[in-house]
Amino acid sequence: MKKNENVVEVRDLTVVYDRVPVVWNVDIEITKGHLVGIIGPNGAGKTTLLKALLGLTESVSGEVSFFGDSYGNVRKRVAYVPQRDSVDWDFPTTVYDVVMMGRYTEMRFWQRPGDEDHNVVKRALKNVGIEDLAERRISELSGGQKQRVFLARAMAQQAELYLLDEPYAGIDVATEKTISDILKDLVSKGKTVVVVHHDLSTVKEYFDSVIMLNVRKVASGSVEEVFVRGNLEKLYGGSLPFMDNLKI
Amino acid sequence: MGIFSIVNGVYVMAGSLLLGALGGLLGVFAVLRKQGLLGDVLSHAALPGIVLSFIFLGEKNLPILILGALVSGMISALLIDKIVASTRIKMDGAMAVVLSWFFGIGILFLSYLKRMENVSPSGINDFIFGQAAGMLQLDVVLIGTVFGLGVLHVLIKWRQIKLMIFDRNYAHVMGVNHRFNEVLLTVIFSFGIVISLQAVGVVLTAALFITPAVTALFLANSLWATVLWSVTFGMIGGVTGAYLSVMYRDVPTGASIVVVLSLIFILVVLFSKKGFLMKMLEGFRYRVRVSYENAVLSCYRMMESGDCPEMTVKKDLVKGGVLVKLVAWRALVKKKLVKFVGGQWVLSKGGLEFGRKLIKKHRLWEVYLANKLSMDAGKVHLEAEDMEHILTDEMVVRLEKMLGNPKVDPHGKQIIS
Ligand SMILES: Nc1ncnc2c1ncn2[C@@H]1O[C@H](COP(=O)(O)OP(=O)(O)OP(=O)(O)O)[C@@H](O)[C@H]1O
Ligand SMILES: [Mg+2]
Repeated sequence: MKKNENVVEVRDLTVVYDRVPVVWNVDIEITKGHLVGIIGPNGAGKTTLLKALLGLTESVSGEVSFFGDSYGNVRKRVAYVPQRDSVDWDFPTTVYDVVMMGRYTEMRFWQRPGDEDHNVVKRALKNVGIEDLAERRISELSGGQKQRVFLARAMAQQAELYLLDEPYAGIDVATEKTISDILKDLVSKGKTVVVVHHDLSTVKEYFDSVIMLNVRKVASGSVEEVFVRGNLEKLYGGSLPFMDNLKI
Repeated sequence: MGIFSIVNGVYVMAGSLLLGALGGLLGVFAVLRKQGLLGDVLSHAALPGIVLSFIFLGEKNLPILILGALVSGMISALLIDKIVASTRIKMDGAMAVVLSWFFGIGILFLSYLKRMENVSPSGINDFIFGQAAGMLQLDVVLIGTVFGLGVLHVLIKWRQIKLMIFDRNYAHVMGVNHRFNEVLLTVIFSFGIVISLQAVGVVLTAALFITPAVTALFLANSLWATVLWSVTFGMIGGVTGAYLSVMYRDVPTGASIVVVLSLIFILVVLFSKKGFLMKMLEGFRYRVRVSYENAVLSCYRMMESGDCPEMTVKKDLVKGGVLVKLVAWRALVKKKLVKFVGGQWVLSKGGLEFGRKLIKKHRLWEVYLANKLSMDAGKVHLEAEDMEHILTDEMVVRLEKMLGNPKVDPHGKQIIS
């Protein structure tokens, strides 16, 4: 692979709900090995953007390619971590089983998980620090533990690109630290990670690039260049008191 | 068994067994997909279709009846979709409204049918509350076929279905054709409902699908176990219900099946490991333990402060409700924490040791709160309340290590190691 290869390329993407554009004419390029934050106010279309990339939401226009190919051909190389409340946690299943779901694309219907699958799952559980919860029923998990389960499932997929929707929402500092370490580790191994994020105070620490989205793309690029007062004011509509605390 | 002396006894038994299995199997997926109400809608809304086919044919013809039931069920489902899509009425509201419309219209048609002259309405009443006694070979074949299709689909698409129900978006991302699987599940479910109508009746058919699944979900921790339990409960309910209703002629099958299934449900909810009684028992045991541990603690504290050097244990040190006090006192005696000496109860050697351990847990926790969480020394006592009942020995070892083996608590009281 070339070093500066575009992992994600989006041209002119527009998504419309009830005749109102929620993502409008967005162009994005994400290069390999970056840790990218997507920030913007509530309802800015961040979740919608991720879903549209993955074909979970119809777009009215635009072209999306992953690894220079159409998404249908590279599914396995892309892992998606949805927002935590998007699934039914009362479903009768265990943590181990959910993480094993990350391996399903590897199996035909008559096959049972093999040694390799079990090893990958165990490693993923260990990586996110929940190996002792493996047999726990998922309805009996805390919010932070659920988030770790999702992350472990994505890791079990052994993808090259990770798209995460608000993994840092509503978790304690310890879990936040674990997750950010894991994501940094993935990037150091040449993977690419894209994270929808809300907490501006941690942007500089967690990411090397940002995409600022509010229906339209406000700015994108490296954190040093783009994560500046002017852009943030444009993004959130005016100067906000918290910006003084960000030292920018 | 007397039932096999009836001409079609074998069919009745086989049919109701299969029916129970079918209900148990499809019910799990319907409940997990939050489609429990759909079963009720489809069965009730089938009535006009059934009665109309009677009226036009002038007699009972099972395949046509089933077709009629399917068509009117389908129309109701489409209507619900339309209402939800084009108004602000929500799904459950739309379902409730459409269900009663169709059922009401069905009842109207029924009274018209009963007044018609050239039509014999015999058999039509079975469809209201169900009558398994009427099952013939054809019924068994039909039910068996739908059950077979259901099993096949579930087995082949097991992982896809699981993924799709648990996390639809992820299923899509993983390349699962969830539309296809969803539609197929719904179609098989609808067929299952419709072919159950004669045996179980439009009013109670949904219960045959929902009750076993809900019961199984209460018990099981995996999808496999849920399905197996649900199918088992369904079969027990189906067979026992059918047997009862055939043996006691006047009992409609729907009613007897529902009675059996509800009984199973109640038993499970009360007596299973996660059931109410177990929960109550656990709660009671905890209160008993807290009560006798507190008694030992207060005795130990009095001894420590010199208020009661001879370590007398008065029965009023044991606190709690009447039953808790009784059991807690017996526990103290049985565990030999107290002994009877010189006409009074005193703390035994074991009791002393036990008290020392409890107080250590309490004081260690106070140190933890004060040092690690920087809490006010005046407040830590209340916050540490009850922790001595919760901390395990292993946690104590870790706590001690983490806190650097403290010798005194925040109030300056001794921690003996
Ligand atoms: N299924 C839907 N149907 C109609 N409108 C929708 C749907 N999903 C989202 N929207 C609307 O699209 C807009 C963008 O929503 P989206 O969830 O993408 O925002 P977001 O940036 O992820 O917000 P948040 O930070 O709150 O998660 C919102 O105005 C929302 O109301
Ligand atoms: Mg969102």
